[in-house]
Amino acid sequence: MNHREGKFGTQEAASITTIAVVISGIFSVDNSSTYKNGNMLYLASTIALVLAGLIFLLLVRAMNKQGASTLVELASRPFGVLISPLIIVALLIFAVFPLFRFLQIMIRFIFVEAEYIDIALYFLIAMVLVSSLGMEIIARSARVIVVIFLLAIAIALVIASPVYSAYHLYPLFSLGADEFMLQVASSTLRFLAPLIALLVINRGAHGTKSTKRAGLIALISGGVLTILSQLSLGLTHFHSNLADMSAPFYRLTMEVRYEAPALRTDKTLLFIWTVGAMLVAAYYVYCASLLLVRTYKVGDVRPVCAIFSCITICAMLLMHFDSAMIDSVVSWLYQWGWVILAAPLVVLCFIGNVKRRKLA
Amino acid sequence: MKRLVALCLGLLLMCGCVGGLSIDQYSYVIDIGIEKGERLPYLVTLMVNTPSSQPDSEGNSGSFTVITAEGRSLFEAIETLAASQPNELNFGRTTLMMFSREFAQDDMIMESMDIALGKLRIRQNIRVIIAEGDIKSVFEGFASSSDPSTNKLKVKVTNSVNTTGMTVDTTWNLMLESFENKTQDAIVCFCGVNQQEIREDMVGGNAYPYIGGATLASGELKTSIIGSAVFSGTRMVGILDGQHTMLVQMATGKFSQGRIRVNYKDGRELSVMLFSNGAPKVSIEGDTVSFVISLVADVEMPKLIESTTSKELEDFLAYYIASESARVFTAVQNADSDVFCVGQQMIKHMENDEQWASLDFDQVYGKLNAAFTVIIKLSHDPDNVALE
Amino acid sequence: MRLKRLFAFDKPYSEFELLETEHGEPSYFSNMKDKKHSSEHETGNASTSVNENLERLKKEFRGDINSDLILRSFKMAKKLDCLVVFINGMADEDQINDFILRPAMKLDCIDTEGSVAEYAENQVFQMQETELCSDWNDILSAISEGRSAVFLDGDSTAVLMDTRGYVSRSVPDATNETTVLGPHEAFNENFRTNITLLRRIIKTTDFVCQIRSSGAKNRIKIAIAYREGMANAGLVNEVKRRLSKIDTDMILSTGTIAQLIEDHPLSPIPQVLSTERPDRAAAGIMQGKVAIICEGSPQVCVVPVTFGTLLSSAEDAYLRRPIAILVRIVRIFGIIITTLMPAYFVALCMHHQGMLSSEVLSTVISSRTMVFMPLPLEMIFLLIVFQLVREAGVRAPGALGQSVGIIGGLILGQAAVSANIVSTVVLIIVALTGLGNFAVPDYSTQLAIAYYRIAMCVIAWVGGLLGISFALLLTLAYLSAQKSFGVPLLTPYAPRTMRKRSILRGPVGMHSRADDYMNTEGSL
Repeated sequence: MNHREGKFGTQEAASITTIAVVISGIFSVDNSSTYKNGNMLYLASTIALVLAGLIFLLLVRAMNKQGASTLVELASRPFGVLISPLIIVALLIFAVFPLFRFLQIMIRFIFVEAEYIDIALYFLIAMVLVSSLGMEIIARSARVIVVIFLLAIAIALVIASPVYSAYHLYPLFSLGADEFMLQVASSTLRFLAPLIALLVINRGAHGTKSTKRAGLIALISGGVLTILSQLSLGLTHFHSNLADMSAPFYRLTMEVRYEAPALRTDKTLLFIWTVGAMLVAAYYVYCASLLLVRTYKVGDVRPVCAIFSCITICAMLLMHFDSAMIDSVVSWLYQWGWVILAAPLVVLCFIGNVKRRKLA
Repeated sequence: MKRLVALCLGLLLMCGCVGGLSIDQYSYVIDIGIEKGERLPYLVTLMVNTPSSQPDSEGNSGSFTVITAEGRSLFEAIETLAASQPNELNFGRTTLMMFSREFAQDDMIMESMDIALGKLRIRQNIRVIIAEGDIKSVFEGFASSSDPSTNKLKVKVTNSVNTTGMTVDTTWNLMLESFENKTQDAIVCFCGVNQQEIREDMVGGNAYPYIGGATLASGELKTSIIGSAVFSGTRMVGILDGQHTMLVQMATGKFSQGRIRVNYKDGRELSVMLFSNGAPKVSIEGDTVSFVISLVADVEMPKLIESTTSKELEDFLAYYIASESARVFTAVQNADSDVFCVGQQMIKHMENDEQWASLDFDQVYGKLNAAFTVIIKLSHDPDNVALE
Repeated sequence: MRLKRLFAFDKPYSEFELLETEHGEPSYFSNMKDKKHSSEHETGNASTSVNENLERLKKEFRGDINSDLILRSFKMAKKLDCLVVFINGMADEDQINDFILRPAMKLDCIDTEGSVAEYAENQVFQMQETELCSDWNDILSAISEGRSAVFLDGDSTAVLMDTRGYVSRSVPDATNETTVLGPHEAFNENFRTNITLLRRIIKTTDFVCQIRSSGAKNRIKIAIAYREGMANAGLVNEVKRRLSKIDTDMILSTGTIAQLIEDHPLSPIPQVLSTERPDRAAAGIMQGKVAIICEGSPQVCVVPVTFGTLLSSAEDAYLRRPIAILVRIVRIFGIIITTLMPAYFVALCMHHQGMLSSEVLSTVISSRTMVFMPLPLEMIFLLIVFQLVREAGVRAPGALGQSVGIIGGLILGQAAVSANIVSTVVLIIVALTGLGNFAVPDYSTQLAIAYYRIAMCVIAWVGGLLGISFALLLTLAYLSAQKSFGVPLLTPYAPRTMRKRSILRGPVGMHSRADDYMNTEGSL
């Protein structure tokens, strides 16, 4: 069977997961609903970071206890067949959202005369080819670019630092408890999605011990950077302005005075993030494909990668259509889409930690 | 795998060019100015960069051209201008947007800016300036034949004046925030072609006649900074001269250094260089807003220092700055303008967004009393050697 | 008849035609199936009769046409018929005369008990390297490579003696991998000399040089050099396995061998290190790598190789550490410039003009006055012209080659600017790019980068910075996928290994252990 999973080390696994945590945490946020009534996202993300870590540890513990080499093996075969599609859909959703954001940025700020499809085809080809090459290649590529990518995020925060003002965060606790808990839940799943993908490819990462280490490193480093980014957004713009912006993080880099020659870096930084986003999208697509081929015993992962890449890009293009139905679906996904992933995870945690392992 | 790669590369050919013309097929708009037209509602002025390798007969490098057009709408005027140019207009390098005083006073900025930035793809952090007189003259006053980059010249004009604290550097981001939120009102750089008459500002009384900045009338640049324009919401409500602008900067924490002239009690005119000594502390208790400003002063009259004590001088300067600040506060408060950013402090007392949204800020602000406490440390005082 | 002649074509075409020998039509997509090469030569042993061997040799070597083959019959001890066979020009006649013919002819008697060949080898022929052989193919190979074969009547075993004395180049200076410090010797076409050059550096007892046939029909020998007990046994076996699968018409140099044994022969990036420096090859062997030496080739292949090895120079090891680090940084800077600068400039000028400062914008626009070509096309044109000048400089002989560079670079460039074919800014960028190209130490990698940047210019033209980032991602993924004999090309960056220094040079003392990725069986 041609699964192209390969073998990769802890550093490679941590690298791709870190990039995925940062991309999902910063670029998968729906600004209009998140910042409508106030800005508590950085607080929600802090709690979410801890929750995501706990859930991840529970899942790893469950896998160790049950002797499962991948996540879905926690459940019995019929149940695994039911859970897998939900995880696959969730992973593809997390592949779509950041690409959608970057497509918006490209059309709005960079290539104003281009069509959506022109840009989308670049994303599609990158995703198809990189995901078809396999997890080894994705992980190694991530290892090479992780430092540059994290620096690119950090530089954006430094560039905008002269305009930080604490009053932008006020009122501090403006959200109601229910809205805040929703944000915590969706932030938790944004942090957890890369870790779930890591557990799907657990075998390639040399088992749960390495995966656990890589996941925790990624969660802490990527999570802290994500929270700092969200905090810096909050310090730069008032929440009502953030709610109206399509790309507030990119706008951070535009706070610099244009005349400063060393600081015409907004586009350079953007394209470094874009490389990270394409790699992360390929990562999610590959993990979803691998899950499908394993669950339904398909022979080769490459056609599935190509198909899932096409589905992802089509979904991304659909999100740009001016249609009320699509808008409502997208809003629901942003607000409640975390349920798709939460349900199977809760079940897996329960099954894995409570059920007794059947001895052979 | 090879077939997949071949298919993907074939697909890449379908991407097509993501658009754009070559670098030499654009005319680059450096500055855009909007004012009220004589015959039609809008008069748009553009400063366009058209570099050429050969200087003209006057020795100009032919770098900049100022073009104007009127239109019923902003876009009609811009389309008229675009049609008059051999190349396509590129607004990607626009760094300055200028409005005339009348345009700002008639509350026309918000509507035009919203459209302009969205459709023209102008960067959100462009500098905004309010101009006295016609914008074409002001733009021409910015150009220099010896340097192809007016950006640097504009930086020189505004930044050097910023170091004196007598004007402000406002971007569209800040203006938008002030237009849409109640946390502050905009205070924007005010400039014009160099004129000699004294400008009266909205505070009145002992107006400090400030003309130009680092660039004086005899210099190459004809446009100079006059002071700052004060807004209430989206409408311009007044002008502050250089020294009054400096006082606003001190209270809002954007002051770093600047020079003031004061009449001492014995009739002598003092020139005092002031430096910021930390961010001001602003607080609201009841209906009083308190500003605690800490400064270091360098009095440039050694003979005076010998004839009076440091404490007397410090107290005098502190009293002067505090009383002048209070006058400025009262003047802008009467014009319903919150350039002192009281809203930024008031929001910190809110529990949630609904409370803030339901607050009638103008009413609350209008009833506030301002208390200014200024702490001056003289830099030449032996006790204050540690400050040097 | 006249009518027929009227409509007839001209006289039949009488020039030479290469007639078809294959049957059927080639398919559209797949390659022609490899034909199984049949061995031209018969197998089996030599005959006990000298005359039969003589006739057979004449037939094998086309003795009636091939005047190089010398078949000298003589009598040993005045009674035993013998035949010495060698190729004129390949063998040293003096050795044959002095140490084969003279002692054999001057012999008084022969002890005919036992093998005559063994007797002759031990008692008669005064040569330092001899071998008894009865396999016909081996005898033919020995004769072909310059050795002499002596057949003795009544014994099917021939005595093979090393009488090689063909003319070859002396040890030259390294021309493509020059250093200021460090040795200046380079390999030459002499097989034995190349092995000797390695043995002069590696004087350990575990240094093994296994000589075997290359598998090509021109019977070129190759040597597999490694340290037994140090090099990973799996690696050595894999190298031998791939070499044993070679079945081709001819091998003329290590370049051919490299393409036949590489993991990805179609890849523009080489997966073997081709070096002309003995010190570089020896350093690889000491670290557990395997070197392949090919007869007649002045380059040696060292496997496995990583991307870092391709980008490092021999001199890095001879310089002091701080200087070596600076040199590496400059080299990396040069590589980035040569790879990305043309494409980056094209992207900025075509799509992201806002990123250029006002001075650069004015300079570029004013320099492009009256230039008719679009800027990206101008860039691609100049990059191709640069390659043309470089190729012309390499192919033109001697001093003329230097003149070509000057003519092409200075005069042609200046004329092109004056004629408004190209602009000065683009010319300067291409010149800088060309300089950076020569910062890449490996020749194959240089060429790969030279054509890669043209493709990057095209993608930058079409997609701007998005195209560049897309291409860089695909390039990175492609490089990550490449392996050299089981070692990923991007080692030790990805996958990360125990090596402490990846890009910058570590201290010399750290050479106490071999690279982690070599998985050696021993330690240095």
